[in-house]
Amino acid sequence: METSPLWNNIIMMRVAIKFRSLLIAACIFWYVISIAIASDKIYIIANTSVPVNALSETELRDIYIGKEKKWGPNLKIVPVIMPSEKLHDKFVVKFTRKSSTQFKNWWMRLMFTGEGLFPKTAASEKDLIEKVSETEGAIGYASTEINTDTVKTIMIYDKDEVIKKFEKNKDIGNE
Amino acid sequence: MNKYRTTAILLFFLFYAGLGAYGMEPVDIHGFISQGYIRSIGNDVMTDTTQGSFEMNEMGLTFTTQVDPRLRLGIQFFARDYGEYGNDEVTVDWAFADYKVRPWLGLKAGSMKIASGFYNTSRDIDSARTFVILPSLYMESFRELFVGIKGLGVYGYLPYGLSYIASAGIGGNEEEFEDSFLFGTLFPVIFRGFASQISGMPPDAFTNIHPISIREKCALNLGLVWNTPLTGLRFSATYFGTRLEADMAFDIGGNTYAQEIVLEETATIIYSAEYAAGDTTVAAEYMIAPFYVEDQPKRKMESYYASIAHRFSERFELGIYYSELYPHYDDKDGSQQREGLPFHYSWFKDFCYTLRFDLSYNWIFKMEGHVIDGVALNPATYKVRDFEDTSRRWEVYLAKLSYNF
Repeated sequence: METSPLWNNIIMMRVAIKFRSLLIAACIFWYVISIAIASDKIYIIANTSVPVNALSETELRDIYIGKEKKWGPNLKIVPVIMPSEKLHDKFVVKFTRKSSTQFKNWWMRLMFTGEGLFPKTAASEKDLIEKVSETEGAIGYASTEINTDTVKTIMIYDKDEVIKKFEKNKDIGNE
Repeated sequence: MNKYRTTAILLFFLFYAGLGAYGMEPVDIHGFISQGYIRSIGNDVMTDTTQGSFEMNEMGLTFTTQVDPRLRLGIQFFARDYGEYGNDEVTVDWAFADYKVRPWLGLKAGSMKIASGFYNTSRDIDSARTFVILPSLYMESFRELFVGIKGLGVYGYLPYGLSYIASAGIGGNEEEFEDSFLFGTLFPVIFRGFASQISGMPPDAFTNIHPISIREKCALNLGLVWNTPLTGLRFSATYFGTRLEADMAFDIGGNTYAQEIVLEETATIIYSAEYAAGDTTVAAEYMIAPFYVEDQPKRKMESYYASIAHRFSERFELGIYYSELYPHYDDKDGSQQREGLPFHYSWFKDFCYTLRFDLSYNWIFKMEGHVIDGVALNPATYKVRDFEDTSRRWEVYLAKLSYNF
């Protein structure tokens, strides 16, 4: 059975409309996802005196819950936070696995029992970057990557993932 | 304030003033202050709480400095008013040097907080917890005994999420003991029971019982915490033991006598579990506290609780707990009448509910209610003229505002 040219045109138009709708929907989806991804991005920054360029998530957590206190024999760790900013909430949830209030209460307990010094507090992201820049051994977080004479960006890796990849590569090598 | 305390405070401020001159690290200064209101129905918690009382506050000022990456020094001045206890007298709550040799070995010297259960070290810090009054396992009435230990300690982090603490020395301030609930009020009641059993005379024959002197000979504190691979789940076991000697005076038939009482062991063993998942924290702890007087059978106190706290938003948290406390592990219904007290002095069962509002980063407001069955170890109910006048079932309501910086 033959289809009329008019009907063909209608079908083509429908396909084109559907394709265009799909394309628009995909673009909106990608835009929303990219915003979400971009706003979730947290860069770990440190004073250039800090002798490491990469930390595992566990090491970063130990620093921010007061378990790890020194970079080496002569350099103490100075964690800096900015509790009034939204980025702080995202940072503590992602890297310390505590809510902002749990994080605060945790440090209250350490501080008022003599078990630790409360992290240095900054009023804004700009202030935090300045404090990290001025303080030897300081570590903090920012919404953008920073690499200057006094501040560097620290790479954060998932130790378990690295071990898994290493084991996988080792298996491939053995085969 | 005694001369030693005054000297310690003066020395500290001289030390603090001198730090800058020697180019040392600046001192971190933090503090907290809280004011509560308490009202009870049925029984007093402290003097006149049935009429409502503001005699419930704490304040602390902490100075800490990281001298170098390994060495930290700190001191906290603390004052509190809790009915007739404390009366806002400034004390040194803790003051110690902490030297971290390795992650698995740190050394402490000075006056340290006692690790007893998860929350004893932070019992005075209102802003660090959900509840105003901690479960009965943390016996507020016995605070003086658990406040600190002066001596040496070691601590460290071990593999597999384990951490430990061990310290030895002498316990709290003996001067504070004499005015405490434990020695000033409860000990005479226990003494009367013992004296009655030994002599065969009725408990009422012993009157005007009071301590002349109290000496704490040695104290040992051990603690082990296991942070499990499941994030937020941790377990702990702690032990705190001490030996106490007290000279007690009492009257029989118009004559005054004195007797030395030696508490060979006063121990507290607490097993704890806590699971924090997201905004919810569930905790349960069990305490067994054996104590025995020289030449007398061993006795045990027992307490346990379960709590749950959930944070609904950054500003609002709700918590509840149910706890039970028994001064005599083997006489939970009081039928043995060891101290000659009414039955409801043999238990303390407490259902507590709390609303916590974080008004801002620094301000916290709490409202709390307690529905209680029994009066065991509640200070004011041991001071009434007639023990039968106390109510078995009663309620306590509190409101508290705290500020910290």
